Parts: sequence; structure tokens; C-alpha cells
Amino acid sequence: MTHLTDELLDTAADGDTLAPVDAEHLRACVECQAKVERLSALRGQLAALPQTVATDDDLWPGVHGAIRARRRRRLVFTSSAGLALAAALLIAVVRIGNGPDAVPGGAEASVELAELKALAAPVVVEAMAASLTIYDAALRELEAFAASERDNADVQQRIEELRRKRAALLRLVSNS
Amino acid sequence: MVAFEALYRRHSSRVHAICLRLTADRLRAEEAVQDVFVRLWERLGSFRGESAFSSWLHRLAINTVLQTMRSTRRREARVMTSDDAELEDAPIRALAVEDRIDLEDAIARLPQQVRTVVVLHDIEGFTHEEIALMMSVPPGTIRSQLSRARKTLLQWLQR
Repeated sequence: MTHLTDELLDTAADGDTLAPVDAEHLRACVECQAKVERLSALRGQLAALPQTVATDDDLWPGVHGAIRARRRRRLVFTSSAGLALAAALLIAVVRIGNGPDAVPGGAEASVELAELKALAAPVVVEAMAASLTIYDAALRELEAFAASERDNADVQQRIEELRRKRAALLRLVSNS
Repeated sequence: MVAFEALYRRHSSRVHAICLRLTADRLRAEEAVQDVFVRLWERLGSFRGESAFSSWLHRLAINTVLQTMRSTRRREARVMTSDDAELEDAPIRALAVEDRIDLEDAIARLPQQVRTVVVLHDIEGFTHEEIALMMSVPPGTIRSQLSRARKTLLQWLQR
């Protein structure tokens, strides 16, 4: 006689439906019935295990400390990201005020961004990426404009100002 | 933070039991409990009340432990020899005649994957399909691991 496999015995112990041929075997086989009974008893014991454990150590101070550390980190990153976004908006206003659509950021910005990704949280990197792209595009536009307007001191001043702000933005995230 | 501490006090012993049975290690379980509550603090806002809070928290605890186990396995796999890697599927070590153990000890002695399945199915009450999703393995694998776990537990407990 071929007995039920372990998995079929488990199926029966779990109260799930067996195929008719297997159910027929189980009804007739004392050996398989005994195995199912043992498995059912084990299931009962497992289900009756305590749902809670009493511990000697209070873990709350550790949990509290970890949460406070995360809060501090988040505060730093959030404020950095906020500043980066504010800078991006500021530059976007400058760019709009200075001419047509800009070209996308170049290799220099990509290298700096790769370095930043190793340092900063994703939200900061994302904000920085947007800010740097706008800074670089605005700078290129202004530099192109300055090439044809060599005596225009106002344009040169704006270029210097943008470069300073761009560098400050990079420093801000590097130090955060 | 006072309200969150109250939440912690109310649920920590249950979360601790889940973590302890899944990890079978007191220190790892304590680390897991801490991770679970830090995650809970971060994700409280995403609880939508679609299930009981306790069910949602227990699921969060299980996922946290499983994720840690996966990371540990990946890390260990980098330094494991092929012999070590086969241990999980190797026959479960028989106990010596003098080793009398209770059910909790027996569960703790099972290999990690097999233990996880029996804890989630027979103690926590998840279905094969739910466990398969949590562990990213086919339901058939869960069935065979559960069968292996129960057979081993019976052998150990009948000594």
C-alpha cells in the first residue's frame, strides 16, 4: 500500500481538502491517521505558544535614542534640501529674466553630482541636481551673452554672483 | 513622544515574541525590536486603518526581520564557501538521545528558512501563499519546508 506523502499528511492536518483518492486512503489507513493526529497535535501546541515574551531589559531607551538620532538627521537633510530648492527657484527667476531656454547641464555638473550622491541623502541629491542644472544653464547663457557684450559690467557681475551661489550650494550639501 | 512610548509599551512584548522566534537569538531579536519601532515611528502616517493596527504592526515586524535576514545572507554569501551555502538544505542534525528539549528550543534549533516558515504558518497563522510572497519563494517551497519542519519537530519532541 502506498501511504500519503508528508505534504499530503500536512494538508490533512491543516484541515485542507484532499483529492478524493487520498481522502479515501486516509479513511482506510490507520497508520496515516495516526500521523495526521500527531501532526494536528503539534499544530495545536504551536498555536498555543505564548503570543508575548517578558524581557528583563527595557528596550525603550534604545528605541527612543534611535528615533531622536533619525529626527536630527532628517532635520539637517530637510533644511539642506529646502535651501537647495530655494536656491533653485531663485536661479530659475534669474534665468527667466535673462533670456531664452537654456541647454542642459554638462560633464562638470555630472562629476560633482556623482560625488554628492556619495555624501548626501537622495532628497538632497535630487534637489541639488535640479539646482545645478539650472545654475549651469544660466551661467552658459550669461557667458554667451557676455561674449558679445564685453563691456557690460552688469552681466559680468551676475556671472560672478551665480558662480558664488553655485559654489555655496555645493559646500552646503558637502557639509551637511 | 509620550504617546509613542505608550504605543511601544502596549505592543513591544508581542513584537518581541515575533522577533525572538524568527531570529532565535536574543541579541538579534532586541536589535530587530528596535528597528521595528523606529520604522513604525517613520511610517505611522502610512497606516490607513484598512486592517487592525496590531496586524499592521506585526506584518511590519515580520518584514523588518525578513529584510534583515536577507541582507545578512547576502553579506555572508560573499564570504561563504560552497559547503557552507549547502547547509540550509542539508539534512537537519539529529539530536543526541540525552537532548531533551521543549517546543520553543526545538523551533529555535531549526534552520533559519524552515524555522521562519513554521513560525509564520503554525504560530502566526499566515497562509502558504502569504508566506511565499513575504519570502519571495514559490508556495510549493513553503509547503515542503513546512512539512520538513513539522516532521523534524515531531522527531525531536518524541524523544
